[in-house]
Amino acid sequence: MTTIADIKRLLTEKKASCRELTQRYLDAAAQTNPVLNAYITLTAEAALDAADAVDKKLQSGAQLSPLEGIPFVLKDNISTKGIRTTCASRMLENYVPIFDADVWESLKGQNAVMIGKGNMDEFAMGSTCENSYFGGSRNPHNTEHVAGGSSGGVASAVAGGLAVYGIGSDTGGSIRMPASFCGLVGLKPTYGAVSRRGLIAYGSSLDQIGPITTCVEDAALVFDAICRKDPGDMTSRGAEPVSGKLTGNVKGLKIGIAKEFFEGLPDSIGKALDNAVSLYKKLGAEVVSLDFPMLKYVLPTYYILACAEASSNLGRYDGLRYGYRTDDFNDLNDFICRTRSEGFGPEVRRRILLGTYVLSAGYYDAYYNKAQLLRRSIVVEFAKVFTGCDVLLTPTVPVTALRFGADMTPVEMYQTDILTCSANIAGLPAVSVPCGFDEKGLPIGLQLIGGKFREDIILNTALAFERETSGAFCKDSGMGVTL
Amino acid sequence: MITYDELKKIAALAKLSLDGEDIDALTKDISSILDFADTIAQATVDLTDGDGGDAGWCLREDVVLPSMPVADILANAGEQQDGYFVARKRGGLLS
Repeated sequence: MTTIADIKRLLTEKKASCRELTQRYLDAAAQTNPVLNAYITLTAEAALDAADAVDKKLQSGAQLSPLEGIPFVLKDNISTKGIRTTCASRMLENYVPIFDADVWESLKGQNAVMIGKGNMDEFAMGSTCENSYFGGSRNPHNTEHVAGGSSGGVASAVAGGLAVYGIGSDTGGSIRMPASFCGLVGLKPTYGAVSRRGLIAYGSSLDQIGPITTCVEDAALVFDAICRKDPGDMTSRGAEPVSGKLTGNVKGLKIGIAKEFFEGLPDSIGKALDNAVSLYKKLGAEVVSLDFPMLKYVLPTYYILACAEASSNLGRYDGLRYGYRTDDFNDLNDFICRTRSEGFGPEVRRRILLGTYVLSAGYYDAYYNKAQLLRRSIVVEFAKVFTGCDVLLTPTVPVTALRFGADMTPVEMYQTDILTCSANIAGLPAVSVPCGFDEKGLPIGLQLIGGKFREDIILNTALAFERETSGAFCKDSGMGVTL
Repeated sequence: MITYDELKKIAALAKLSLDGEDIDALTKDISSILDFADTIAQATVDLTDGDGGDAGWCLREDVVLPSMPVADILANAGEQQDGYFVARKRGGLLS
């Protein structure tokens, strides 16, 4: 699969201009998007303008910054001034932001080339990317299967060769799950490493922006380019750059394995993870057995908190100031209620109802307060884990990419987040790396969770695996641009 | 099991209309999710003060910054008049 270094080489060796390369990605997107539905909006004009600026810089002999001239996809819940940002919802179908998100401001300043806005589950609520008002994204490895959620369009575009890297958001696994389903690297940074200003809010204490890439080194490069302290997000703290610290050496590293994360796995995933553990031992890492008994409470805790925050965050959509508005109503209250019910899809309405329920008088203590206490207990449990190991290794998702249109209840669908959402609850960094394929050839991911602001450790551990396996699990889908 | 009356009350709080919803399916879905959420009732919490509670954030200074231009703020409004958002009642303005 194409990496940032591949594009950089073509540009600096003057084998192609940035405009030519960008046009190739735009053409491939126009041709393949009807199949993958990876993009909601293509941004050809912005992409070609950035490409021309890069070509001008190259002609002047100036050095390019790491992401300069590299075609990428931005999830459509990240605000782009003057460019439609829909959150994959009817509610924001025609919404055009009046300011840039911090990450886009940062990338734009580096002449990153945005090919388009990536499809997603509506308001980032979903595990398959099928909850999009614009239709679901397909998995480039098998288009009968989903790309994963919620950043499914971003993963589909990258795995489908329609972008070199992508920027997604992760509230309970929304970067790592589609990365796992599409055979890519997905990094959810530490909460606060990347500014959330301009990210359309779902669960503000859980949301974090991060990269989806074709290799570990690219994930580090993109992370370095987007993490910074931003006065516009009081929870942002920035982070130290990591790309210069990666060696791929894991000798003496303590890798924790908690059996609770491995219960009930399909054989193919269990075997792929066993192989990965053996490989790490061979590379000189020490594997340590741990307990994580809180895992059984992680998922309900996550859904109570995420839905509670969503019900509050999505209260702003009333149809008066922006967004969809109904034309059939009796009075102001009816106008707002109908606008919201017609503008939001079923999963969003369901989560708003749940969140309102757990915050309502009579249920607040039993659900919301208890979940907040459990959140603190989970933070404490992770602190204990990291006294015994440097990194926790788990599968990313307990299944491989589901069939498109699979008939599942909401609770069955929520269960697919069970291995990813603990990192969001505790605000920890976690990365998914491809580690195998199931019997249908669909990718499997392994997840590495680290202590706060230890992106360097988890990415280095991921790099060791990728190098030792020669990237064999980052399989080309055969779609899109090939260089 | 959540009842229809409870669901109506929650929908009103959430400013959602239940018109057009399949009430039986929604009640069933919400009830099953609440059953699943109820598992946290079994959990015992053993925390001491400060355990897991320090996120390490600090509030920025409360400094007044320039506001966005009114024209920008109104740019996405369905209807605007004289620098205000408009909420329309059938045949007249609500506000």
